[in-house]
Amino acid sequence: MPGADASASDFNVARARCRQARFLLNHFPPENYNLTMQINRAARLRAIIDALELGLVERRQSVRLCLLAALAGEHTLFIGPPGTAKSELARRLHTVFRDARYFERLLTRFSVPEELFGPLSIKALEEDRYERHTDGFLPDASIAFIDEVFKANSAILNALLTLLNEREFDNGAGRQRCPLISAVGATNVVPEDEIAEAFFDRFLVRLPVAAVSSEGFGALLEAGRARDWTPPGPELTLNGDDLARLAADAAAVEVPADFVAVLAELRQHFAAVTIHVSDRRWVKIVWLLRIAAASEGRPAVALWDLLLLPWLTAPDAPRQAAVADWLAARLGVREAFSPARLTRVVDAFVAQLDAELKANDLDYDESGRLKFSATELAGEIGDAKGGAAAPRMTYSRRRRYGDSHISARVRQVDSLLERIAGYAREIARQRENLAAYAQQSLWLNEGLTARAGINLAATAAAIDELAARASETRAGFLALPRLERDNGKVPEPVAHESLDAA
Amino acid sequence: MSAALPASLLFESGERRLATLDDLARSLWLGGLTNSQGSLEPRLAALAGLRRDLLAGATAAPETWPWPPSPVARALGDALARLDMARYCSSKEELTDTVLMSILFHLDFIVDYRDRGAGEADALRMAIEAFEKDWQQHCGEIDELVEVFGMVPDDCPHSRWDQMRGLLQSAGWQEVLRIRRLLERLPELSKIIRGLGRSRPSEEPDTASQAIVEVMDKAIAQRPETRTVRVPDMPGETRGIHRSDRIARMLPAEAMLLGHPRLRLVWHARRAERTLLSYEDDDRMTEVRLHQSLVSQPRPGPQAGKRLELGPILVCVDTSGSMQGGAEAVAKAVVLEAMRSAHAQQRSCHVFAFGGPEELVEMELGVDSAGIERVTNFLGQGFRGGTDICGPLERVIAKLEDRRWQLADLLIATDGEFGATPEVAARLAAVKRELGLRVQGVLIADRETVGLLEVADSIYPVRDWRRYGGSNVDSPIHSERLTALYFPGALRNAANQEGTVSGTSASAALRDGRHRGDPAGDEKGEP
Repeated sequence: MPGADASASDFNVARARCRQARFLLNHFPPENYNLTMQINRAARLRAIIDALELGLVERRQSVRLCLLAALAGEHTLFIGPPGTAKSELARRLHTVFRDARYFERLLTRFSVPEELFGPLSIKALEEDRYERHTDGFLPDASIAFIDEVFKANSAILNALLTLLNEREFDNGAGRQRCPLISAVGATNVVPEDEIAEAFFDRFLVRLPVAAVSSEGFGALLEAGRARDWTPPGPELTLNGDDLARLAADAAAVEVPADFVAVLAELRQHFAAVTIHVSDRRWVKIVWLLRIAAASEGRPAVALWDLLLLPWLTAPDAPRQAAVADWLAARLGVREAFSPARLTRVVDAFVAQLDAELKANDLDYDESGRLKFSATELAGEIGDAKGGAAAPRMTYSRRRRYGDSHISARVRQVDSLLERIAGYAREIARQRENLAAYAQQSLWLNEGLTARAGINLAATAAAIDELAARASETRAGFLALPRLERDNGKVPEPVAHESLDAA
Repeated sequence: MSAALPASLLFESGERRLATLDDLARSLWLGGLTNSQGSLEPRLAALAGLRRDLLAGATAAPETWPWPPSPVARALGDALARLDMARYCSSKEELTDTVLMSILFHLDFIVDYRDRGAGEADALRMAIEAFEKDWQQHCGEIDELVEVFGMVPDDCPHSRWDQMRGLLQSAGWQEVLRIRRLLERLPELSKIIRGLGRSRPSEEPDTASQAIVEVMDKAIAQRPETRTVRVPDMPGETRGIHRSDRIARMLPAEAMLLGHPRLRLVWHARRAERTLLSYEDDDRMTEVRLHQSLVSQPRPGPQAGKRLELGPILVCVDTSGSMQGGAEAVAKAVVLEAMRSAHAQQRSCHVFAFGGPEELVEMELGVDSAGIERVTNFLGQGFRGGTDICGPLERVIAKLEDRRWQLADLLIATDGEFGATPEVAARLAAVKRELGLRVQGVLIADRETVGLLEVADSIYPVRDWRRYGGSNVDSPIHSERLTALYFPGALRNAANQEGTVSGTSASAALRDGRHRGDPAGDEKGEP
C-alpha cells in the first residue's frame, strides 16, 4: 500500500466533502430520493471513506474493503500481528451505520458462551423458561468485532458459525433474528484444523495487515492525533433504508460475459495452484462486486473490479500477491509490454528493408535471380583472390528495384500499419476505460489504478513506437534505389572524330 | 505458486490472429511476414498447413490453400508434385523448413521479374522454374547421399548445400561412389564392422525411455505436534459435582429453591457466593502446534534409465605402397563402412591412416559436411607410404588412456607387412588386459603375418582382394593354423616368451657351463 496518507490537507479534503454531501442532501429532499440517491450515494460514501481513513497510515485498502464488505453484508477478517490498528478499523466501521449497536470481545480458550451471547435470564428461569439475556451482546449487535477469533473453543465457534452465516441465534425455545450487518474478526495466525477452516471460509474478505513500512513511519508518528478522531456526522451515516436500496440497485447490476469468462479462467488457475475457493464464496464474490458497482452508480461490473479479487480469494499475503500478479497480467497492466507477435512482424519488415538496401548485384546470377543460400556466403565465396574481402564498388552494383516490387512491399507495410492502428485503438479505449474507472472508483486503491495506468501508458507508447518504425520502413521502401526507366528513345550517337583521320 | 502468468487480455484478439506464427520455425518468419504475395494471415495459415502436410508426406490440393492466389498456387502445387517433394520432406523438419523458405523466396521474386519486363504469366513461370531447378538438383544430391551413407547427413545439405554441391561433383566423390558399390560385394566385411562394439551404461540419463517411479523429494513440512489441555466448564464430560454459579449446570435440587417464596433468597445468595451445587463439566482440547521439520516426500516422477553408450570406432588403415590396387580399394571400403556404421550407432569414428614413420594422418569422420569432405578427400587419394604400425598404435594407446575413449574398438585394415616393436606390443597387450580393448584385423593379403597376428585378436581375411583391383587371381592364404604349424616359435605368445632366453643370459649360462633345464632358475628368462 503505497504512500502515507494522513496529513493536514486530508483533514481539509474530508471536511469539504462532508460539506458537499450535506449540501446535496439539503438540495435534494427525500421526495425524489431515487435520483438523488444515485447521484449522492457515491459522494457520501467517498466522504465516509475519507473520514474513516483519517489519521490512519497505509490502511487505505483495508478501510475500503472492510466498508465494502459491510455494505454487502459480508464479514471481514484481519490477519496480522498485534498493534496494527486492527481493532481501530473495526471500531471506526460501526460509526458509519446509523443506530448501529457495536459489540466487541476478546476471545480466549477459556471464554464461555455467556461472554458472547449473554447470561441466562433468571427472571425467565423463575418462569420456567431457559433463555439468555442477549441485550447488548452479540445477537443484538449490528457491527461486531471479535478479536482472536480462532482462539475460541469449538463450542463457541460452532454457535458463531450459525450466527455469522444465517444471522439467527437459538435462544431457548425460539430462534432470534440478529440485526448483524457485518462481523469483523482479527487473528494473529490462521490455524489449520477443520472447524477453523470452516470458520475461516465465512469471512469473505481477508485482509493481511502488516506493520507500517519505513516510508510511512514518519507519518505514523505524526498521526498520533488519532485519539481525537471524530466519527462521520449524522448526515453521512447510513441507515437500513440506504442499505436496502443499495442491495436493490446491486441486484440490477449486470455481470458481462467477458467478466464471467475471466472468472472461469481464474477458477481453473486456482485448481492448478491449489487455492480452494468454494462455490458459495464465488457467489458471494460476485455479489460483493455487484454492490461495489452499484455503490459507484455503474450499471455493470467492470473488468477492473477483478483487481479486488486477491483479498476475496487467496487466504494469505503471498498467495494474494500471486493472484494479484495473475490478474494484472491477464488484464495487461502488470508491466509495460509490446505485443510479441506484432513486434515480430514489424521487426521482419525492418530486417527486410535492411537486407534490400544492402543487397548487391554480385549476389545475383546472370538471370537477375538472387543466389539462394541459407547461410552467409559472402565471406567464403570470392574470386579465389581474396576478392570477397576487398571493398566492392558499392554504388554501381547496388541492387535496384522496380515499381511493382516497391508497391508490393508498401502494400504489405500499409496493411501492417492498419493492423497497428487497430492495436492503438484498442489500447486507447482501454486507457480511457481505466481512467473513467479510476475517477469514480471508491474501492480500489488509487495506487493500484495509477500503476495500472502508467503501465498502460507505457504499452501505448510501445505501440506508437511500432507504428513509427513501420512508417519509417514504409518510407524506406519508397526510397529504395530505382531501376532506371527505359524511356524508349534511342540514345544520340556519340560524336567522335572520324576514325579515318588517324 | 510459480504458475506461469497468463497472456494479456489486452490485444488478445489481434495477437490471436497471428498465432500461427508460433508454430513456424524462426527461419520462416522473415519470408513469411514480408512476402509480396497475398496478405498476412492466409499466408501464415497456408505455410503452417503446407508444413504439416509435407511432414506427413502428402500435399493437399492447391485449390484448398488459403495462400498464394490461385494461379500461383496451382503452378506451385504442380511443381511440388513433379518433384515429389512430399516424399523427401516426410518427417524431416529441417528440410521441410528449407523447402518452405525456398518457396517464399522464389515467389517473392515474381514482382522483380515483372519489374524487369516479364508479363504476369511469364514472371510466375520464371519463379516456379527457378524453384524447380533448385530442388531438382538438390533432390538428386539427397538421393546420392542417402545411397552412400544410408541417410541424409546430420547438418547438410540443407544449410550448407552450396559447399556440398562442389564436393558432390568432385573426382573424390566418384571414388566414394565406386567404393560404396564395392561394399555391396563384401557383405561379410560389413557384418563384422557392424558387430564391433562394447557397451556400458553411461552416466547420462536416457531421455528417450523414462519409467515413472516414486521419486523422493526433500521437503520442509509443518509437522503438527498435539498436546491435550484440560478446559474447565467446557461441555464435554461430566466428572462430578462441585460448587459454582453456573445456572445451566446446577442440580435440580437447587432449582427447587427458586419455587419457594422465601428460599428464593437462599438461591440468590448461593449464586452470588458461587456455591450452587452443579455438575462439574470439563473437556480436553487438543492443541496443535506446528514444527518445521525436514521430510522426504514421495512423488511419482519420471526417472531416466541409463543410456547405453558405445565407445568410438578407431580405424587404422595401412596406406603403404604395398597396398596399391585391390587391397587399397578394400581398405577404403573398410573406412567408409566404419564411418557409416559408426554414424548409424551414434558413435564417433576416428581414422588413423598410417604409412611411413612420420606419415600418420588422423581424421574424425562424422556424417556431416566436414566429415564427408574429409572422407571424400581421403578416398580420392592413392596409397604410397611405407609401413610403420608402431606410430598409430602408440597414438591409439595414448588415446585409450583418455577416459572418453576407454570403450573404443580398434579396427586395423592392412596387408600385414609390418611388425610392432616388443615394447609397443607389450603396451598393447596391457591395454587389452586392463581396458578390455579388442582389436579386429582385416587382412588384405595372401598370407597372414606375424606382425598382424601379434596385434589383432581376430582376423578377417579378405581372400579375393585382387578382384577389386586389376588382376583376378585367387590365392590360397596362410592361416594362423599354418603359421603355428610351420613356425611355432615365431608367435609371441606367453609360452614362447617364457621359453625365450635373451642373448646376454644365454651367453652367461654358456660361460657357466649350464644347460637348459638346470635347476638355477634365476638365471633363466629375461634379465
